[in-house]
Amino acid sequence: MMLAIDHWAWANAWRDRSPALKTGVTLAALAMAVFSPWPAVPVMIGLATALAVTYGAKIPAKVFWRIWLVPAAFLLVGTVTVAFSLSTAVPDGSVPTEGVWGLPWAPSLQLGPLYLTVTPQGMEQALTLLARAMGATAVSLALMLTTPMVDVLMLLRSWRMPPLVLDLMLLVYRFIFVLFETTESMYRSQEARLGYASWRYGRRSVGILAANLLLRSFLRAQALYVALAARGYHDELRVLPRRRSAG
Amino acid sequence: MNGMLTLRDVHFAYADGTPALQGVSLDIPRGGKTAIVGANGAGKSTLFLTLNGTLRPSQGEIKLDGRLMTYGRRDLEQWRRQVGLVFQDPDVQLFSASVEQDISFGPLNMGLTEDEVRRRVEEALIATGTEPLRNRPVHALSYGQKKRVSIAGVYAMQPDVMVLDEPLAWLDPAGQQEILALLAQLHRAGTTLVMAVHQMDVVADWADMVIVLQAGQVIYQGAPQGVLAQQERLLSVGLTPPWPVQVFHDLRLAGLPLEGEPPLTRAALTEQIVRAWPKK
Repeated sequence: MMLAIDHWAWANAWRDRSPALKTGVTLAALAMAVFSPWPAVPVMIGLATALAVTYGAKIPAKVFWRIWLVPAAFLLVGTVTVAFSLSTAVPDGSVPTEGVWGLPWAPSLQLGPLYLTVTPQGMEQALTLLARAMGATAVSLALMLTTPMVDVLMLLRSWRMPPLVLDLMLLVYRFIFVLFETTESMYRSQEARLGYASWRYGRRSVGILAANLLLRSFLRAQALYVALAARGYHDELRVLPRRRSAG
Repeated sequence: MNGMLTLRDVHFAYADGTPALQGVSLDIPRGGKTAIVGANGAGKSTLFLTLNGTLRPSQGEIKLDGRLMTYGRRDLEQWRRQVGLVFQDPDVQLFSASVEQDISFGPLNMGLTEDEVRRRVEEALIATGTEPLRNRPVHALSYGQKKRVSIAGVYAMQPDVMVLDEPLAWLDPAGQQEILALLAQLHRAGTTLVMAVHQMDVVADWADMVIVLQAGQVIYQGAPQGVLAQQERLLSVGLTPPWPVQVFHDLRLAGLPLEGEPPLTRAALTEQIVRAWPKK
């Protein structure tokens, strides 16, 4: 998923738009989605975002949908629990028993002395929360999908983020991919030699892989430092800001 | 000798005690094309790291442009401006998120103005044929492209000496030719070149000076003809002679009366065969 996000951040039609503008619009849309009292607003914002990403930034709807589903699944599980309320009262006593969603009764479950009930208020709360969270996720995802890391760093630099933090972000970003490639090639070479032929071998292979990855990371860090020093590195990774054709 | 880089009796051992350089003395001629050859583990990469002051020899001295170098901050800075090192593995060298930014790193460290850095980055992008890749993230490049970008990053610093650790390794023939063409262009512009290379055919075509390393010692320094034509000697240090030399020896064994020194190039070999043919 991370690789897909990075790929589209470089390949979308809005890549060269001003990152400050994109961030501004995103923050405004986020605020609207989160603070609106009606669940319809974040839903609309989410839909509008999906359309903008598909037709504006020319990212396939399928890509957007698939990436959005990952956090959405977590959100669904998280918000469902809000719909339930736990009480000691008998449901047809103090708790209102008018139907939920057209059902003539509020579904309830007796757990010893406790009753697990879905109430209309709980249901409404859960729906609002879910709508907000999903709309907000769509908006944030749109920013991630249309802004390359280089631009994010540049924007943070213009916001006076300390250079040390930025350098770390840059290196982490670059070396995530190096680490990923190393892991992949090590895994393939283990697999080619039957390292994952059985569950027991697989467990052993994963251990070896992890240990080697750690060692290689240290060596890689050392080699990187030597290479940076060869090009005159002192204490800050200075690079030219990107010049964009569109302002 | 008007040496750009001069090493005298340089010794270096790694922390675990493995000796890597054992009394290396050599001269890199100004404006020359020096090939450093030797089997794996002969000390080539270690030697390269001493050429720009990364590794400090335990003994011996290094002169750059006639000046004895020390390991103080100012000398090291000067050293890195004058001697550019292109590492064998481009993934070690490229750290930045985009090609253009990675190339700008070295020149910016030299304290140049932004305009000058931009000009140099442009020039390096065009010279190395990486212009179309300018805004690409480094991790999306192929191996050959990464290699060219890592050369561009050093090119933009315009060093007097460019030291390349096996720049042709893992490249396809077309990729190798591109790198060699780029080096020829650099050489015409006055850059002193030093390159570690395994293919003796390339050495024969390219170098005007060959240094042979074996077990941390220089066993030959001089013109390519002086060592490349010596089949037995090359084989004894784990290297293969250029193919015209091998064919020369084979033809002689087969009874063709070839005369003179074994030829290093195809053209020279053909000429010798044409001369010997009628006598057979």
